[in-house]
Amino acid sequence: MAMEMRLPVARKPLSERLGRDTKKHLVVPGDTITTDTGFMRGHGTYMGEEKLIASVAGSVERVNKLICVKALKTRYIGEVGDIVVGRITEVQQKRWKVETNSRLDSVLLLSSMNLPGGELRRRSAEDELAMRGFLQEGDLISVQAVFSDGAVSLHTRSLKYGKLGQGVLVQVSPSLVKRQKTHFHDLPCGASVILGNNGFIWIYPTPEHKEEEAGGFIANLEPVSLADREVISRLRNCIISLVTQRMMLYDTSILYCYEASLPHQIKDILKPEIMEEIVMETRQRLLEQEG
Amino acid sequence: MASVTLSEAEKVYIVHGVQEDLRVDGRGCEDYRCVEVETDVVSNTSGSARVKLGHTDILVGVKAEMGTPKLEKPNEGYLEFFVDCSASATPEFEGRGGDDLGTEIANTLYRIFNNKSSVDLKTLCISPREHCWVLYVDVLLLECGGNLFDAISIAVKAALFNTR
Repeated sequence: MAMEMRLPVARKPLSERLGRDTKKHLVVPGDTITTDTGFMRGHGTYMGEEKLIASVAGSVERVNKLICVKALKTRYIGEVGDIVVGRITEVQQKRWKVETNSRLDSVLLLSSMNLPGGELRRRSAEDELAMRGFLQEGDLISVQAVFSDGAVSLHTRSLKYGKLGQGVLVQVSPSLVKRQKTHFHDLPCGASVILGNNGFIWIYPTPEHKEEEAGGFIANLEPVSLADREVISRLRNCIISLVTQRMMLYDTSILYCYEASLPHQIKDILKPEIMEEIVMETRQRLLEQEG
Repeated sequence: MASVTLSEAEKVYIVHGVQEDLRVDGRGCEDYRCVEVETDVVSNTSGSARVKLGHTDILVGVKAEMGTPKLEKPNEGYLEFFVDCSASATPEFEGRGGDDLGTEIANTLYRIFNNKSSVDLKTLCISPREHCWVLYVDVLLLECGGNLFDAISIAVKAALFNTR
């Protein structure tokens, strides 16, 4: 049982490896953004001594006359229409409390939840008692988020959303998930991925029958085949290596990273040198594809 | 060691995977995570080491002092272990929570290093029955991410190697 030991190495600064032409204007709290008073203040800024000062660490974004600072590492801030993956933490009277990596726990009302079978009817008292039968503590669900008064309110109105079955959850920073048209991806390598906007990424084996989407209540507990498992583990390690190198996550980047990692063994992807190599290759391919 | 609630389906997935010798991150059942070892980190000790095994972070400091040998072993020095599970390692260690684990690990370390092949205790003796070196080994758990015994034993070994 051989073990590998390594000495700690200083982390290489990110700018060396990026090589991008457009330099983002990065600020830390207390930095002056501009002394021009003609701009309107957005999120992440405040006015002090006739200067616009940043209050969070991130990149400055300017839209016409509005200046705001988008934080690089933050908890999930909900927007209407986002897809999130959450974990049930509490079962309360008419709702579930869901953990979505945001400042407050999100709520999922009983009335916003699909009933098994997809029927539409008023939720009665028996439904409330049966709440624990639907979703228990620790269950993972995929929902659409509706943002209100600070706490995110969730709903699973269509059959695409609901309780998740077997798979692997990866937690990343919400700012690394790129906003796209759809967040449910069926990758050609044999697994499917849900990129939640809150940074929770769910990797699961592609279901064979297309009618049984990810929203079914009866979780499929049959053993997953070894080939599928290896694909899922490889995807998980690829996503973690993209995250450590601070790259945006979307279906193309994950796919390229997966293909770049094929020559290596799954457990080798976790080593820092191989991680760098794979992500470098992914970055090059993405640049070629854009340019 | 922090408790994470998982859904039934996730537990089933993980258990089936382990039965086929494939953990969630692709390792086999007997594969280790990446280990980082650094020695000579604490300046005012005779020897020190820091070991990072995945999310587990251990810091060990060794101080050598003069003392009298134990009565039943007059020709040898001895080692004293103390394990401190800091409250920042995991939420379960708040207050007195980490003490039980600390004593258990310390007892295990005593048993491990009690034989001739790990540390030659005769070399710690200066004059029999009068003076000997006592090595005080302090282990500090900075972060608890599983597999404590392995990481601690590697760290103690590295620190003792580093002791001058």
